[in-house]
Amino acid sequence: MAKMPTPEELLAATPASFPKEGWMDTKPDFHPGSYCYPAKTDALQKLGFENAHEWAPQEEDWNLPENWEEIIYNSLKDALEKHRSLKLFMDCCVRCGACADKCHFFIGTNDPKNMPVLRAELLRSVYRKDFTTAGRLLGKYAGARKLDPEVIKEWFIYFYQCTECRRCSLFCPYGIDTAEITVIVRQMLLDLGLGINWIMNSVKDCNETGNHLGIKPHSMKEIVEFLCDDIETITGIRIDPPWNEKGHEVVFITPSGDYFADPGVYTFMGYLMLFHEIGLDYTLSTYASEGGNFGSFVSFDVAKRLNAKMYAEAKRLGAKWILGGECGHMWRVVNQYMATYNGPADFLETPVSPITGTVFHNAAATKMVHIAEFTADLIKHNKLNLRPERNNHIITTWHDSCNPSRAMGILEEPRYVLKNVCNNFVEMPEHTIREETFCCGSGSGLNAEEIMDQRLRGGFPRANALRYVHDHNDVNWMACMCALDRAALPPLVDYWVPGVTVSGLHELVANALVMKGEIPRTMDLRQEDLPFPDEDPAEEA
Amino acid sequence: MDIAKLCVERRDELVERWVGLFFASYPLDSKGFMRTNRDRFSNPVGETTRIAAAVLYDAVTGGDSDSDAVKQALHDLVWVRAVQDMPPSKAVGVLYLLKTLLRSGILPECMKDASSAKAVEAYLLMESRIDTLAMMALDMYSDARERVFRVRVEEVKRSQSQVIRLAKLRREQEVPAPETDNRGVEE
Ligand code: SF4
Ligand code: SF4
Repeated sequence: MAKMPTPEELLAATPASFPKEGWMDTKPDFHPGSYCYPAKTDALQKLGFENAHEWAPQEEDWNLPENWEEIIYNSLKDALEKHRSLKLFMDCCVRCGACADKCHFFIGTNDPKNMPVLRAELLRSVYRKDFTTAGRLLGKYAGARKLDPEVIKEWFIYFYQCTECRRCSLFCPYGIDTAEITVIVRQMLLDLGLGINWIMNSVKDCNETGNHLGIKPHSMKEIVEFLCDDIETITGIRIDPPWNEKGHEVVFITPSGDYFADPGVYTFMGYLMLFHEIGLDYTLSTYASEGGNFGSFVSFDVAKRLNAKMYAEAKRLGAKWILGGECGHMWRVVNQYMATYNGPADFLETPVSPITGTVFHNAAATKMVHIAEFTADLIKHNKLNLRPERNNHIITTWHDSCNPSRAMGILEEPRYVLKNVCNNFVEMPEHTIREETFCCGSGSGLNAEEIMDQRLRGGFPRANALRYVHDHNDVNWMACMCALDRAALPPLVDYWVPGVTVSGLHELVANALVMKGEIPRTMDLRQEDLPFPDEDPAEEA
Repeated sequence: MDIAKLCVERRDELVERWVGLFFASYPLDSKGFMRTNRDRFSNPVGETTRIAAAVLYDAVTGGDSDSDAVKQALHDLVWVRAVQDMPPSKAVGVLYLLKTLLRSGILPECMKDASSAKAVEAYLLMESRIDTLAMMALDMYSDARERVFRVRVEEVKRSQSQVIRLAKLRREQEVPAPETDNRGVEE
């Protein structure tokens, strides 16, 4: 009889994902769940990627174009010429390790290649080989390595395991921005025809129809009519938002998830109710119906193309300025890149709130205001009649979405709004919020369902901090102002901290908003009974 | 031989070694971080493991432990390991390695003197408690995996809730389909 292994032997014998060799020699492991589905060839072709081809991550051969080494070399050379920052990032890392344990993917997976320093090293080692003298002469001894298809596979795994959240760069003494490195490597992979379906299909649809699901304008209008039906059921007020109309002061652009997905639609209803109540002169647009920019996750060129639609539409409609919905990376793109991509937007004016007269000087260059700033200003000037008691059953915390908070510093405005519409607010522990916030684990287009395990690992530090306030302070709600978060946090919370509801900010604003001519509210925006409904004057009499 | 006392005396050392075995499922380069960073927010995997190991050790060795707290600790440990990209045997089986530790750290003492029968009996009881925990862990592991699949399905539904609503409306507006033909978009 064969000898049965001991438990120790059995556990040791299970394939270890991480052999003992040095990191350069370990090969990435491809099994279902460890990678995103590849982008469809025709989607990439439509977007003009020449090397789009059929391939499968789990196959040995990725059918790379014959001259793939040359393509990568040129692509990296091009990136180094275009982005001075990249050359700096490649040269100046001193391997101090300050960033190593700051990445939520490293914290959640303990995979060393998820240390930001090593992630960047995946590119740096190739850069060293071909672009530095030491690397050319000394090879591996100078931390350089030859490009081979395994390196490409490794890039695909690890640069799609970075959410471009920039938490690492906050701790780096040189401010090395791994997020930018990730975008550039993803661009290089696209040059080889390698992309992921969830991102590239959305890019294609945004490019073609204006939103990430490719919903046609008439259907979109119909969907918003549903939401207006719901608003009428809840408030007794009928709202009929203008679409693609010229001559309004403001064009309102929000991520398309807010039109189609739960719980984003409740936030969208919130916007409509707010605009109706303050009498904002605005229009929606089907052409620019995606404020988020899926292109920005993978390529500066594609990002520029998608971003151009917003300005082009504002110009076509003759609006004075753009109001942006609750979005995260839209905000980073708008403030960090839009002016260089497609600016200056001279045909627009520096935004002024028509209700309070506040001039948004911070938006003088971009001509675009974030709705959290806009609403905070309304509340500050006492322009809204709010009844926060309607939210009294809610004990909420605030998730700082990486892009608007860490990248753009919108920290106080949403908290100010939240505290005005909700009487019970609890912060999560320090070092997990504000600039140091933990990512949802699914940002930068990684909210693909097929990598849910990876997302749950990457989001664990966030969920763990939430769990703490859930256990200690009975927090039952987490508000945020990012469409990806509204999509990605519900599964995260459902796995790690069931009993917490995720919502956008304006869902809570609209719950509390007392509208002129409304019926007494008995339900919230999700049409669930309010534990503390409005008193009915008819019943009182 | 007072085995309970011995377990208490050796507690810190054995728990530490057990925790080391949990961390052994992770690559060499990151174990240093998991071991040394003791902050529950910046090292949640490490700290969840550490806290759970101590609670479970007490439960096994018969120290005072409240059954809800034991269940919670086991749950936290298993739910973390259930999404760590390791096979179930590794995620849950590492509980059994406590036996090896107890066999080298506690059992020899139990067998030392003439009156050892009772001590051995008490010892075996501890091992049985490990079996109980492992069985509970198996259920928890399976719950965790089911939850993962459920959240995947729900995410897909949520991501297009209004499109589904529109599709349903369109279907209702069409010529009524025969009673039997009720396939279509799920709610
Ligand atoms: S940008 Fe975020 S996800 Fe990417 S390496 Fe840095 S901390 Fe990790
Ligand atoms: S903190 Fe900056 S310099 Fe230090 S290892 Fe990380 S990337 Fe390099």
